[in-house]
Formats: sequence, structure tokens, C-alpha cells
Amino acid sequence: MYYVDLLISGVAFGCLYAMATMGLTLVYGLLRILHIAHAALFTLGAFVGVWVFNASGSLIVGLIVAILAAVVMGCLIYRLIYESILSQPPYVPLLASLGVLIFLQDGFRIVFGEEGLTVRHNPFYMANFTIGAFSINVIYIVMAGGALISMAVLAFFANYSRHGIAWRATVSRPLLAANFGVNVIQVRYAAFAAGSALAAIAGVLVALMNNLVEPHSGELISYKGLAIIVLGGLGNMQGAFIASLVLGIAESFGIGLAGRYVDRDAIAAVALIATLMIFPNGIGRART
Amino acid sequence: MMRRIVFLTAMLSACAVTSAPADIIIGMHAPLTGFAAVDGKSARIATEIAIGKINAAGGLLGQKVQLQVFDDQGQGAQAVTIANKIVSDNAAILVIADSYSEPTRAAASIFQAAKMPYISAVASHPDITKVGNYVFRGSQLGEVQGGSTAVHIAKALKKSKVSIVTVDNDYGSSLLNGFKAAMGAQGVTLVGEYSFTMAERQFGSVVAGLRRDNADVIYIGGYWFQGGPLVSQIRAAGITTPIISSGLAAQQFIKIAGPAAEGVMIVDATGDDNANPEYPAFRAALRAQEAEANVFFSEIAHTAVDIAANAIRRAGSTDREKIRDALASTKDLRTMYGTLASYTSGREIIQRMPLSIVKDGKFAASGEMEIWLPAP
Amino acid sequence: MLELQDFSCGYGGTAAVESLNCTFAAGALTALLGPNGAGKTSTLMAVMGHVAPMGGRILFEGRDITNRPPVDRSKIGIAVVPEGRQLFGDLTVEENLIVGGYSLPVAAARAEQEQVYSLFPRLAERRAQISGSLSGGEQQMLAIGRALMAKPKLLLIDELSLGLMPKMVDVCIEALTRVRQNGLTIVLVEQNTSRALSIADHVYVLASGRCVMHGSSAEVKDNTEIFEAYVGIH
Ligand SMILES: Nc1ncnc2c1ncn2[C@@H]1O[C@H](COP(=O)(O)OP(=O)(O)OP(=O)(O)O)[C@@H](O)[C@H]1O
Ligand SMILES: [Mg+2]
Repeated sequence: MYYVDLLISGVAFGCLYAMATMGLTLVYGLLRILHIAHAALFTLGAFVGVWVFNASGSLIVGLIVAILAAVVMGCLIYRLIYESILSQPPYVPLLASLGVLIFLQDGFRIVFGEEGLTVRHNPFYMANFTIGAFSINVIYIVMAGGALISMAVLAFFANYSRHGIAWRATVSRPLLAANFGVNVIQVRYAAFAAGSALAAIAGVLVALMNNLVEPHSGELISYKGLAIIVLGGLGNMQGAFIASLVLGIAESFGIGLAGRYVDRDAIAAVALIATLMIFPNGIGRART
Repeated sequence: MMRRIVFLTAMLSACAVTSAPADIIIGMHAPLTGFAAVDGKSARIATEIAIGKINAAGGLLGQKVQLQVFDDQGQGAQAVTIANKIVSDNAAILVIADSYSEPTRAAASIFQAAKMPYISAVASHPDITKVGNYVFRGSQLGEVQGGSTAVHIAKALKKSKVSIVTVDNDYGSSLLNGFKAAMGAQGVTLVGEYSFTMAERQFGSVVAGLRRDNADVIYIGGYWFQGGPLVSQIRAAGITTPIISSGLAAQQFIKIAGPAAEGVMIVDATGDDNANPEYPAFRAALRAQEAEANVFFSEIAHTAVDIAANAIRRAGSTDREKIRDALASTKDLRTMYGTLASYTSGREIIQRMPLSIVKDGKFAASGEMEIWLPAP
Repeated sequence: MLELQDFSCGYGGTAAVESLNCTFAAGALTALLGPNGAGKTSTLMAVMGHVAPMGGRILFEGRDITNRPPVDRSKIGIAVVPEGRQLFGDLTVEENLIVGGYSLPVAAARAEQEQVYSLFPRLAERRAQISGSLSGGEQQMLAIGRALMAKPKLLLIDELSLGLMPKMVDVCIEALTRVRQNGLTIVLVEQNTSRALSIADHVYVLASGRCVMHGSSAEVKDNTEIFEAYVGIH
């Protein structure tokens, strides 16, 4: 029973990590940038979502506004920060991205307050779902379900629509894709938009679970995000998804069984090293 | 970046006030930015309110009191820098630490070496006062809280199987140590033991463990920003075991945990039923400055000023050694946090320990706890 | 169809091709020959918009396209079979073709795809295979097919025979001969000069970024001494 509980929480978080960090994978695939500032979009989505939910009383409205805010911010980060420094060595965009993250976190402090926001009428409070001896937090089901649905939509788009195929072609060979009429700039905006939207949804879900958004809530996914894209095989979507699940489950069991000695990010680091010893190019690249 | 700027401003304003030599200067450091900034703000505003009251009533020894505020960011290295600055300025006659155990421990020996009276208002690590005879405590030791909780669980709640969940820092480990030291004699046993890092907000694995443990009581030791999510996640998982806690006496805890907070017992807090006649006015002043997020922190910050002012008056002098001696002989002093009976020879407070319970979204007084003291 | 007027281009300020004057007539197959490093690939990639122009003009159907962005190329009717194929290696055969026809309306692209499959039945059999795992010959077929998907008026081919066994080269040339019947204009860069001379209508010979010789295939063949001095015997 205990192990089943750990597994459920691990899978729920794995799905959530996948959703929250997909933007990193998409952006890395296209631009080879480690988009650390992505973590701030998770926080932005959570803040805006909770704020609008509290003000309007509608979670759906909150979620939609959160997605819009994150999408606009994600595209602005590309346009104002990354676009002009793409030809620089990789550490330049990385440092710029870190700067954006710090700047936005301080912005959240000023705008939303140091103590953060809480959800006024949280529909998932004490909501649990019982089957026989099992009792699962409804929010876990929502987290896993939301992540699986949104990732399935993204995967369907990437594999079965010609725009999605063109997107993947751009990841593979951007210059040549352009020669076949693929607008590489639009593809980049689409990647930032899709990744940011997913991060916003993930942010709102975590805010509902904790009933709290803080200016630094995004730190949950910043370091882990890097581990996930490396584990997943740098820019590979399926790989990143598997890596997220592995990490979620490893964390859950790791904290459950050795929690007095290790913390969450340490487990991510250990999983990273162990996996790279087995698959030196990451899980996603192991096949080719 | 912001932190730097705030710190610089604090430094500059601190330098500015030193130019008024006629005033009595009290130094203070607190985490004004960083992970504990909400607590730092609660402490700073409460301290300012307390000093404002003193000045409005004519000051101390006929002089106005000036407060120098420094931002330690909740970090030891910052606290060391600040302590060195205060000591080399040589203007403050007493310093208050409204901060966590790490920064307070780091700064204490510097003040001791300079023979500058130092009150650790909040930090509860046992080693802080062991640094020397100039270092005093303002609130209960973590070990005393933890040990008294074990006694309370056995004698008042009449339960024995306990799961304990504590924050992985000095405060959490002193709670745990006190609890473990006391539990044997009380027939209390631990069926589960968990810790979490300062940044942790996701408690899926801990909750899974708590469900397995099936304890009579869950004891949580940490801060509101962890306790809020933890308590809601425990209740959301359908676990209805009674919860007793240390460190969660912040309004923000109730705001986060909402209905899940109902019935949670809080060790060493009078909460909203504080019997001090000045308490309602104090709360109103905090509310006016939107500083009610962590009222417990505010109460003990105010208390440190109460203790300091009382000692300076009795010393009748700004001489630091006389103030130290006056601190050590504090007797039956009514503070915002209770009545300080006296100091032990180790400069720990002797004070009764109230218990409160969350009821209808408020902290309600729920009697007193028997005090457990560690073997000397 | 395509004209380079006094055209120079290069990388980071260093010219790779200088003062090139070439005319590629509509419907003709023009070969671009020359030793390694002569600037053949640079010339083709400049036409695709990837090498920075440093002077002169590129005219396509009389319009100046020197500075138009790469993304416009397939719309105006230019497609490329790049040196080393450059397939979208993570994509399947069919997905590569879909990207090739990205600038066409969906229905037209689908019709074109059937054309390509009938031209290269091998690709039809392997439509779901990841293109990175195709054999060299299949990859070249796919690269040609992908370029044809855009229904180009002008097809630029860089190193058709590179790394292919002669029989596979025959298959590709035969396919090109078939698509030429619809009036397609082709520019072919080749190392296998005798092969190129046998199918080209017109030939330009480049060396060190300059045009050193040009004429009809027959004229070039007649001047074997000069030609071989530049290109070497293959
Ligand atoms: N990306 C590049 N950056 C800098 N210089 C380049 C680049 N690509 C080619 N060059 C240089 O431009 C010149 C022409 O190269 P190009 O590839 O066009 O020759 P080529 O005729 O295609 O040769 P090959 O037959 O070997 O393919 C060479 O000197 C080469 O070093
Ligand atoms: Mg070449």
C-alpha cells in the first residue's frame, strides 16, 4: 500500500514535470538555448491563474488568462532577449536567461507580495477519491490527467499535422526547412507559446495542490528541468517525457525511503548521473 | 539584485542614524529579503512599533531610541558581515536578532567577543546562548518545545504512537532532539520520522508514509510556508489524525491550509487570544502596516524590545556591562509573548508555555502545557 | 530562368565565389563542374539564400532575388538537393516528403507525393521508415523526391553521385530525365565529370571561385586539355 502511494505520487509528479519542462525541451531543440527563465513562466501562470480565479470565482477563466499571460511573456522573452543573441556562444543566452529569471522573480515579489498568494475557494481542498483501501488526492488525478492530455495533444500535433511535421523538420535542419517554405521564426514563436502554455497549466495545478504560489515557486522546475532535458536526450520530446516520469518516481521513492538524508534536487542529480552512465546520450537518443 | 539594493539602503540608513550621537542605539538584524522575508518584515515592523511606543513615552534614560536595521537574508555569512559592522561602528548598546538559527549562531560569538549584549529573539538553537554571558534568549528553546510536546501528547492527549515531521535545519533538529529526549519517560514511541528541506512544498512521499504509519498524533515542526502545504496535503489525502505543531503560529499558515488547518494544535503560542492589555492596539498597528502575515514572529520581536528596554531602565546607564547584568536579573516581566519569570544561569527564559488551537480560522488559546526541561 | 550577374558571395567577409556570370536557360540541364573548394556548393547555397552575397545580382525569371529570405525560395519555384542529402533524419520518409511539399496546398502536395512514389517505388515501400536509417541510394532518392515535392521550376542538385554505386546513379539520372520532360530546369554539380558531360546541355567550369570556362557540353568536350587541367580526369 505504502509503495503504491509512493508510486502514485511519483507518477503524478512525473507527469507534472513533463508538462512543466516541455518548453525547455522545445526551446532547446530549436535554438540550443538552456531556457532557465522558463521556470518564471510556471510561476507567472500560477500567480495570474490564482489571482484571476480569486477575483472572478472561475477556475477556467483563471486558467485561460494564466495561459495567455505566460504565452505573451514567453514570446516576449524570445523576441526581446534571445533573438538578438542567438549567434553568441551558448553561455550568453544562458546567462541572459538566468538574468530574466531573477528579474521576473523579483518582479513577482513586488507585484504579488513576498508571502505570495493563496487560493480562496480551492475546489481540491481535502478532495480525495477512494477506491477500496486506496485514497488518492483528486489533485493528483487532475495533475496526471492534465499533463497526459496536453502532452497527447502536443504529440498528436507534432506527429500528424503538417505544421507539426514542419516543426520537427526545423528542429532537425532549420536552414533547409526554411528552403521548403517553413517559416522558422513562426515555428520558434509556436514553440515558446506551446511550452509557456504548458508551464502555466502546470503552475496553476501546483498552486492548487499547495494552495500557495510564492515568487520563487518556479525553482521546483528550474534545476530539475535541466536534468530532464539532459536525461531526455537534449531536445527529444519522448525522451523528456520518459525522463520526467523516471525522475518523479525516483524522487518519490527516494524521499520516501531515504528522505532524512537526501533532498529532492539531490535525487535529481543522482538520477542524472546514473542514467548518463547507462545511456551516455540520454534516454531519447539511446536508440539511434 | 533587489537584495543587494535593499541591503545597501539598510547600510546607508544605518550609517545616517549614527550621526545623532545623543540617541540610544539598538541594532537589529532580520531576514528582510530572501526565503524568510515575510518573517523579517513581521519582525521589523513589530520592533519599530515597540520602539515607537517607548519614544512616544519619553524614550529611555531621557534619550530617544534609534533602531539600526540590517538585512541578514536568513544567511550566516551575511550575519557575520553585519555583526562585524555593528561592532566596529561601536554605536549600538544592545543588538537584537530577529532571525533564524543559522545567522544568529554565526553572529553571536562576534557580539560576545565585543561584549555587546545580544538577544536572540526567535532563533531556538541551544548553542546560541552557550557562546557566552552576553548572549540571551527571547523565546523558548526548540528542545523545550519538542520535549514539552512529548509530555503533552502523553499526559494531556493520552496518546502514544507519534509520527514526527520536521524541517531539516537547526530549529527542526532541536525540536526532534527535545522530543526524543523526553518521549521515553512518557511512554511515547515514534512510528515514523520524516524531514524536509527549507524549499520543499510537495509532500507526496511524506503523506504516503504518514498513511502507512497510522499514528495517534502527527507532530509537525517547521514554518508556515511548509506547514500550510503539508497540512493541506495530509488532509487532502484523507488522513484525519490529530496534528500538533511547533512553528506554525503564523496567520499565513491558516490562510494556506484553510479548512485543513482547523483543529491543528500550536505549541507555545497564545495566538489571537493574547491576554496582554496592549495586545489589541499592537495587532491594530500591525494591521495598519499590512504586517499580520506572521504575528507570532511579531510578538517575540516586540518581546525582545520589552526585555531590552526593561534592562536598560534598570541598569540606569548605557554601559553595556551594566545592561548585561540587568538582563540577567530580569524578573516577572510582562511581554507581548507572556510573562518572563526570570533567566536561567544559561540565559534561557523561564516562562510558561501556552497552547493554542486553530478554530474558525483563528488561533484560539487552549490552556497551558507542562514544561519539560532538558537535563543540564 | 536563372542568371548570376557579376555575382560574388562568401563567408564572414572572405569571398568564396567572385564575379560570376552565368545563365541557366529554362528547360536546360546545366552542369557546374570544378575541383574541390571551387565554390560550387557556395554558388548553389547562395541561390538558396544561405551564403551572404557580396556583390552582383541573382535574377530568377527576371526578378532580382539576391536578398530575399530563404523561406521564399520554394514559393517562387526553386528547390535543392543539397550536398550530402541533408534529410530530416528523425523524420520518416513520408514526413520528409510532406515537408518538401509544405509550400503547396494540402491536396496538391498529396498528389505530388503520389508522383514521387511512382517515380521512386522504393520510397513508397519504405514510407514509414525513419529516413536516417535508409541506405545511401535511398537517401538520395528521398532527397530528390523531397525537392520535387515543391513542384519547382528550378532544381539545384549538389553532388548527385557522391557515394553511390554506378547502378544507383543510373536510377537517379533516369528519374531526372523523366522529370525533365515536364520542362524542369536543372543545375547539376558533379564530381563525376564524364557522367555530367554526357547528360548536360551546357557546362560551367569553376576554379578558385571564378568561372574559368563555359560552353555547350560538346564544346567543352572538344577542349579536353584545358578542361582536364582544371578538373582532372575522373
Ligand atoms: N561555411 C563556410 N564557412 C567558411 N568558409 C566556407 C564555408 N563553406 C565553404 N567555405 C569555403 O568556401 C570555398 C568554396 O567552398 P565550396 O564548398 O563552395 O566548394 P565546392 O566547389 O562545393 O567544393 P567540393 O567539391 O569539395 O564540395 C572553400 O574555400 C571553402 O573552404
Ligand atoms: Mg561542394
